Amino acid sequence: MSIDLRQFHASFFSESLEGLDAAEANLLRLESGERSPELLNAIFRAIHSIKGAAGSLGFPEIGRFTHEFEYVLDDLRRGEFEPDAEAADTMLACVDHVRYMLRSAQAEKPLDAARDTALLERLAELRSASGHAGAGKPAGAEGKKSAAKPAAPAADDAALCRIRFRPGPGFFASGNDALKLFRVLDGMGSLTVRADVSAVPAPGKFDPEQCYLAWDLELRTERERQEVADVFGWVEDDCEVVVEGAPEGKRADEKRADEKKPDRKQEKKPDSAPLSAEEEKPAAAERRAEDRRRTERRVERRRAEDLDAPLQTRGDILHVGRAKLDALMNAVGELVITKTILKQIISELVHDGAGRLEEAIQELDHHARDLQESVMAIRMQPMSFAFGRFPRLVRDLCQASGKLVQLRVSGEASELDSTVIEKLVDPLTHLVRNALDHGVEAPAERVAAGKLETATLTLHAEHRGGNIEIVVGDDGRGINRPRVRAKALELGLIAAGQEESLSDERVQELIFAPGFSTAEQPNELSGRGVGLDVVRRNVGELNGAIKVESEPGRGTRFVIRLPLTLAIVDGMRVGVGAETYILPLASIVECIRPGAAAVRPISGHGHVMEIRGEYLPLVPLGGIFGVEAVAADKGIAVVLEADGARIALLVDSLLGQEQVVIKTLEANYRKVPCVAGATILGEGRVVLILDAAALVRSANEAPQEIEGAR
Amino acid sequence: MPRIMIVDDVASIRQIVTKVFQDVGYQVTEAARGDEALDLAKLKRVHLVITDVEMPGMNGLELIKELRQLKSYQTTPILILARDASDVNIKKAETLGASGFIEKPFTPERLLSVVNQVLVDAYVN
Repeated sequence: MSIDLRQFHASFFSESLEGLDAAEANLLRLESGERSPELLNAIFRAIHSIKGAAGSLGFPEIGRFTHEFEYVLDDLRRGEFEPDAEAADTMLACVDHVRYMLRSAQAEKPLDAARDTALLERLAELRSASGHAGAGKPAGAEGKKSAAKPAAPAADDAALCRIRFRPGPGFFASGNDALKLFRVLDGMGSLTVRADVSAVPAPGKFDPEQCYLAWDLELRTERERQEVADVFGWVEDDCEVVVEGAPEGKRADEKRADEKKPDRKQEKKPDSAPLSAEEEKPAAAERRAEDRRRTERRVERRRAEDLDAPLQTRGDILHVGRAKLDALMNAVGELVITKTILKQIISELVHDGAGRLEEAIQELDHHARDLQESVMAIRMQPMSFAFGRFPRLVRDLCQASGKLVQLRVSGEASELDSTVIEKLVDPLTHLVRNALDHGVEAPAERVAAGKLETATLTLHAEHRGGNIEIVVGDDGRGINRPRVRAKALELGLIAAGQEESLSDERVQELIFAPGFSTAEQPNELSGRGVGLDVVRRNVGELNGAIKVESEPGRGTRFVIRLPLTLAIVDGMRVGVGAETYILPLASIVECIRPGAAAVRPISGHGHVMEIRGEYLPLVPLGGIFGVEAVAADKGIAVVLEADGARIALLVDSLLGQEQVVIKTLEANYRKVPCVAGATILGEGRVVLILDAAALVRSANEAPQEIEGAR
Repeated sequence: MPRIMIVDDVASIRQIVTKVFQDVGYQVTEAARGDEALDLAKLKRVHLVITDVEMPGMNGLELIKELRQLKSYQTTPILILARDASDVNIKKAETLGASGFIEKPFTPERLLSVVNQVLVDAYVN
């Protein structure tokens, strides 16, 4: 019988990654002092589930690692060790590692075995702290007994050496005996033996002459690797022997582990001689520095691997592939278009029989809308899928920077299209980093300013009409206006002498300019060459807008406003010459017929239009696409607003409102500036949907380029 | 044809077990939790139950206890999915009336051969 196990991989990955997210969240709760059997059980079960499935699905490395991790978690839930900061750190690192292994397996990439070994050692340390002589020993009655025994005889400078021993099938037939080898090894230190019997066939197929066994050995020894490997010298030709971790020269992290051990003992033993203050301080400082370095490394790693990775699907009864849902959504989109075409045809039929047909079409319209809404509802996910990763990020960032921050999350049940949520993760991550880095002050500075030592970081989501509003706020020092002005001057974004007259809004807009950063020096947290301009662009790609509100000394709030879905947009059809375009209704402020008097030329390029005392750049839409349009005074100016700026877009006529299904141009053609996508109108015509934010941006940033785009 | 029930909160494990036995023509009932399994077992008698131990809600050990109190399940073979041969849960499960265990991870071949052996012992011999 052969079964292709790959058919189960997709559900294994999504289920396991989801379990890891839950385990991580629960470990953070544990770290913040929460203790309950349910919590400990949930952490255990998440890893237990992965272990069970991984082995059966052909991921032996994941199975092996989670197996060891599971033992530690089993100890933890039975209260055999107290999860201090270091233990929590180790367990979180293990969660990271399992996630890394899953992602690698998913991408069919090879694993980095060195990471495995280092973490297994840290797990082994935890186990020995809880009284188990060595990792890998089953946590049964034997484990209990060894807990009562004095510590393993191995000296402190003994290293943990892992040996994987897989004899060939003819191992016994050629007169070898594994037991003899193990006895020799046992004489070199303290040995733990675990047999891998997974290859043993069913009784009917069993050949007693053959060797089906393999062993994983752990030897705590002072001997060198070569000496250990030499034990297998006689048999290694037809066997797989891998010796890892014994000292060739000692590895750096082993040394560190050794150095740290005496420290911990001194701390825990109340009867040991008290250390003098001079002695203790450097030790504690060194340990803190070490903790910090470790966290930084981890933060660094997460940046490299995790932040780019897609957000995982949610834990629910049914797991449906994204592609299937997209296909359904597409079909519904086509249905909506066909329905619109039908409506168009019927409106053209001047026939008596059209009455009943019209009724039927009304009915179809109604059902199509219901269907569309249900499909959209399937794609909706709660914001918690984006917010869920931040407790861990904030924790890591705090550890690395020494800042104290309490994270407050609200409105995480608000639902949003899953593709939008995915694309929000990056900008939100950036804003959170930004808040921790620029906004939140160091504890001492906060106390000096008369504030609570612990800062509050707020993540909030809320539905408003057809939009969702997401707030990232902190109660830190606020935007430093003088410094923003100075920097803007330096970058040439504003002219000298003009800086004093800048409005607060203008100052706040400046921080979204490319290359803008007021950090005195780029530090390890931000300063990655990515600015808020990228955040604004990301949000703009989601047809959203971002605003910032800031009060000196009181804090900063970034407010992102997004449509709930990317797939359908309420649009206004506008005509220019023979062409039709769609403008997103959400960005239209008003439509005005400009009198000749309101339009004025400005030196060198283009025109402005005066609306109630305010001058807006007048952008002829025909000019952008090279279409012959009517004269300015005969057209209609559509006032568009995006990112806090406005322009007047000149079109020939308004043709009416319509809900349109967005088809991306990028997938079928290429990205076109100022175009958000295309759609099919009722009469079957393909028209372009304009990107209001891009139109506004290009008109305000460089008016002359609009001319040049012709 | 034998009817088998697999109880595990991990969907991919349930899927493998279902596939393995459906391919040889057995009927498979899946349950993700102990209490769900108990309800399904009462609804339709199955010939063999495979259950994980660690599950949220009613766990595998409690399920065995409950099943053995039902008249129609007093002798039905119940296998637990165990961590390895030294898993402490095996002893506990056997005292509660489990018939044996299958080690996780398992291969499809091993799963089929163990279950067939148990079925033959229970219903043929």
